[in-house]
Amino acid sequence: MTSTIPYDPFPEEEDNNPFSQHEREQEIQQESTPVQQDVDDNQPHSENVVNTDDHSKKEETKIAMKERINNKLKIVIKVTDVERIGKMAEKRENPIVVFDVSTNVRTFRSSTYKKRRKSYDEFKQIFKFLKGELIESFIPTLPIQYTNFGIINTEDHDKMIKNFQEWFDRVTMDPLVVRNQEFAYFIESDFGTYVPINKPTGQITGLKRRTLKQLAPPYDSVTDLAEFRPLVKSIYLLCQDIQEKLLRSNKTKKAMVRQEHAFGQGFIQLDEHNNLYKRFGKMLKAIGDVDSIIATMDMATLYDGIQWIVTDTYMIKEALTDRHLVMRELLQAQQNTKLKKDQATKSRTKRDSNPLKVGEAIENLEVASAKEEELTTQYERITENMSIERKEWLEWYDSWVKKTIKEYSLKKIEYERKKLALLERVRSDVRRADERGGLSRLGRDVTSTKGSDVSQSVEGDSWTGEIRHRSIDEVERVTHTEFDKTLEEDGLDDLESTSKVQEGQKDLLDARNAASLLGITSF
Amino acid sequence: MNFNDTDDALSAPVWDDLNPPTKKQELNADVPEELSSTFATLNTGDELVTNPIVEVSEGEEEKFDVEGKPFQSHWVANAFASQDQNDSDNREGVRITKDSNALLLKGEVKNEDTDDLNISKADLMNELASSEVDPASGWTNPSIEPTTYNINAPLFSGDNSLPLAFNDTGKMDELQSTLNLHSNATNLGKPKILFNSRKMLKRKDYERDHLKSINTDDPLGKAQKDSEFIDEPLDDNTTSISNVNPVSKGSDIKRQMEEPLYKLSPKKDHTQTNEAKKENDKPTEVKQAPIEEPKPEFVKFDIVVKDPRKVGELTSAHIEYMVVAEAKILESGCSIVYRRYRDFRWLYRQLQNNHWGKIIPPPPEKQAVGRFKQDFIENRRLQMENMLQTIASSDSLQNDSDFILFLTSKDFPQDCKKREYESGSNACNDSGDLSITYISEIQLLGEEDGRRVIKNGGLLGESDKGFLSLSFSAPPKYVEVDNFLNERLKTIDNLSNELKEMYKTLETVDTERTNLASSLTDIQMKFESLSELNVTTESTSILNSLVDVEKAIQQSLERCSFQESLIMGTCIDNYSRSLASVRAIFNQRMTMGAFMMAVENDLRKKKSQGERVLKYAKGQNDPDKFEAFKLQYKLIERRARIIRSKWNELGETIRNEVARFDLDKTRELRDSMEIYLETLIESQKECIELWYTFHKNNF
Repeated sequence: MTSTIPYDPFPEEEDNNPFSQHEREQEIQQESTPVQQDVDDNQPHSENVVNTDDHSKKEETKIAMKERINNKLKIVIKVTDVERIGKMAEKRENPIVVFDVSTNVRTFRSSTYKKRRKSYDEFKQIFKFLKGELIESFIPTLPIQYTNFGIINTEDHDKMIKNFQEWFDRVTMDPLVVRNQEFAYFIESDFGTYVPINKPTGQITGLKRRTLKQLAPPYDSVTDLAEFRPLVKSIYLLCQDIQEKLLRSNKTKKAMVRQEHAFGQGFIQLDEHNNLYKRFGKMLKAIGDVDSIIATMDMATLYDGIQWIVTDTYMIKEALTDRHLVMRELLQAQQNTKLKKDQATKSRTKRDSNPLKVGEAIENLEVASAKEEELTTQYERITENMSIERKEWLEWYDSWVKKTIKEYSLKKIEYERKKLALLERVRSDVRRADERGGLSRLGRDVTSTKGSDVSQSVEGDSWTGEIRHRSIDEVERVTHTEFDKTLEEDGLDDLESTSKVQEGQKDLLDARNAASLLGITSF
Repeated sequence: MNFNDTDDALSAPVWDDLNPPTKKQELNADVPEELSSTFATLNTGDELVTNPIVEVSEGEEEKFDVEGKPFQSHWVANAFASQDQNDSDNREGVRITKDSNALLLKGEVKNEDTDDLNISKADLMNELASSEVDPASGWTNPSIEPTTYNINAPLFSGDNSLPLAFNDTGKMDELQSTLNLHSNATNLGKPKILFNSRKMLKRKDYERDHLKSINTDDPLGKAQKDSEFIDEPLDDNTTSISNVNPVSKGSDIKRQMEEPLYKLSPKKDHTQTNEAKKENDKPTEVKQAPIEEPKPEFVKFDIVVKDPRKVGELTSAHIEYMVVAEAKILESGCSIVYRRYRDFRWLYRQLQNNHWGKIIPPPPEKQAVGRFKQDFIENRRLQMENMLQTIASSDSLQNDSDFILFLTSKDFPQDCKKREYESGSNACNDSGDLSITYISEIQLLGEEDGRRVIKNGGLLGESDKGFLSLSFSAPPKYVEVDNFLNERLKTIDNLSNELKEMYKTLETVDTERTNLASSLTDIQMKFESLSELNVTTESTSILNSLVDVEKAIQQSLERCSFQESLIMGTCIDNYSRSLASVRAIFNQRMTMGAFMMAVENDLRKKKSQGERVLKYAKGQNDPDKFEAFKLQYKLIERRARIIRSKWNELGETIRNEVARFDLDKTRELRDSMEIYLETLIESQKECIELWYTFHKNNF
């Protein structure tokens, strides 16, 4: 049993033998312990050093591919709920994810699990373990504990579910994770009890890691991965910068909103008997509120979205560092083997060679080359897997950026529309105050003085020729804001007129209209 | 006491020498010789007539008080004071004249028509007695404002007071007519003549002043004067209105860009002129209505302030603005002059001095703060242009000789000093606050007396002197007695504070917005570099278009912010500065009131002093001394009379002005609100469209 061929605990034929599992774990241990052990093993070994290198490379590629090619093992996880219970800090920092699992992986004792509940802390544990254990993979980082929507609201709830679903999807895409026993333990363990049973083996941590990171990265023949680290690093830094700037602009926005409020208040106070000023002021205040919401939405969509990129890129960067460390170890092992080999040949060619010494030298060489072979396998596996995962990650990045920006722009549009609706609501009042009727001063015709002068209706937007049909619900959602109550304290008549108009427009929705509605994205 | 006596003794002859001859000279210039004496007599009679007619309110007030009828408690305290004063006035006045009858009959006094005087005294008493009959209930806050403003804008409370005004005027008229009836009945013909002659005299006085000012002015003033008397067709209204519309179409791009904003001003002018017209059209049966000059035709002005340029070195460095004015009224039809900020302030002060109680369009504040600093000069230019245009569109201000001087004078630094000296307006010593005013003694009391007063340290100073040497009673402090004015003042103060607050918040909104814009730029740059990493083609293209959208949004934000400051900022700033100008006319009234108190106090003192002097004169048989005292007394009496009438006049003007101001400003603010709202809506639409397009193209 050589360490060059990693043991596959899941052969094609079903194997329910509990011992095999045990065996496998031992295997893993054997496989990875040398990495942590002292590299400078002074046992000489002299046979087939070069050959094994070539041979193992081919074999390794095949094997590394094998885990992915014969990937019939699947874990399907469906997140059903996110609970926030307990104290305030607990609610915020430690949400509980509820999910259903169905799987065909043998490490699991059952094929389906319903309503597994795991706290965020447990997720952290498993992530930490996987990161340390599977140095070949880019383990997706966990989503944030709470969104910028603020905790305990539906938006946050939905977003959390989405995020965790996404995380599970990404994690279960990785065959190494799927095959990992610890992952099964994680899912099978009772709520709140999970701690990693095994110790993660892969990563060099602590001071050693820090020191080794200072050294220049070794030469990397795989260009994709060699270039990937600096790329990821600059994404990481840029995204952090963006976040910082977003935070700052958000602060400015909030400050601006306060001033807008004050300005609106100023109008209200200008003349207590004047309804127009009052309404105008209230409108301005409501606009300020919408602005504040927009600021929050920006944070919740763009900032939070970028947050995941930031943590993910950091994780990838570190994983790539691990690869560098392995490469360094491999180089050292190769040097060591060479040294041992030299020693062995020297002692063999010596005329007065002591057969005992020769035997020792050869033994040393054998150990060293075995070690090297092992590291080479590991390196190959890492390189192979990372090349694949790099592509996957880039795809994810692509889709995530898209998703984030889409969400961002959708929210923007929604709330800007609300703003417009608010503005237009007070327009009729302002116009009515002028007996000459509306825009006369602007050199335009007299427009309707009723409340029906809205530019966003079922028929689309008045300012564009493009056909944008939308449903009544959507129009309603746009034209009614959270601030209606405060706005309409003194102007109920106006509200009635607008709602009448909307009722009138309901009839306009015929079958064809409905069909086109279904076909077109509308918001 | 001794001091004062000697003082008087010393000063009296001087005045004696000075007073009558100069008067004669002046009059001689205008009227035939023999009239001079009649005028003099009329002058004395006039004083008595003014009492019943001009000061009806006082008389009434007094009466109610004396009889203990229910009266507005607010006034009681004041009324007591004035009652005391007036009572003693009357009593002593009568006594003095009666006593002096003996002397006068001897024919020692040349210019007195004692019969006339006595009769009118008696008339006065009769009349005062008869006016008791008038119902007390008919007296409410007089508010002379028969306007038809409140037809529009039901939402605006600025018009609230107007319906009241209607009632009041009705009552006032009634009251007035009854009073007139009384006086007619009792005075039998004489008062009419007196009344007329008073008017005539006043007009003469006025014209004299006016002529003098014109004589000393440069020829342009004359030209203006001439044009005043040219009879132009009066039905010019419509044409002039339509002419106002195409005001100054700026050709530079910036103006075109902001065209909607500028379109406002002609319309505003339109409304304003309309208002002004209405004001003119309404019958002016208000009793103190200033003498009707032939109303000058409303002239269309085209005024542009442009091309600010830096002049001078180091310490004397300042910005000069080119003022281009076009109007028929100007000598050459068009004039181009350079003026600096200081000159605009001078104009403001000078106009304030020339038109008491008029709300003068204010110049920009001395120091603008905050965001507007960057385009400080441009902002100031705009404000000053606005000021000149508003002045030019007001028919009572546009013909002001100082305004014309400002527009045309080639040697302004000299001319303005000259004018300031002539009018005693103190316009060059401009204090920072727009609401602080200065009442020119010259304007108030006429050239010769005014100069004398100034020499003695002003009206208040003069009485102070008396206070120190003569008595221990300080002149009563002036407290505004008109409830309406008090209330208005309070609301104006509130409004002014509110507006200042709003302006400040608007400024902070603006700075925040600038900050936001800069931080947005930062974000864009970061996104740009993120897209430059070219991680994946798709994400790169999305990020690129995101950057584009953000840029467009930011531009729109900046534009919106600029427009906000231009529309709301300018409007609110203008509003609050105008309020300072309103405040100024209230201050004028206060100062006038203080003058009135001081002078009337003086007069009272003189009266009590008079008895002693008379006794003394009798004992010594020294008629000269008494004569001198009499002259002095008359002088002060005249002052008191003038001041009181001006004070009343001012009250009325303020009422009218404030009402009009409210309406104008409310309308202006509403206009700004509407335009602001429209720009907001438009930029909102733009914003949605940008995002929508972005979304559509990318997802």
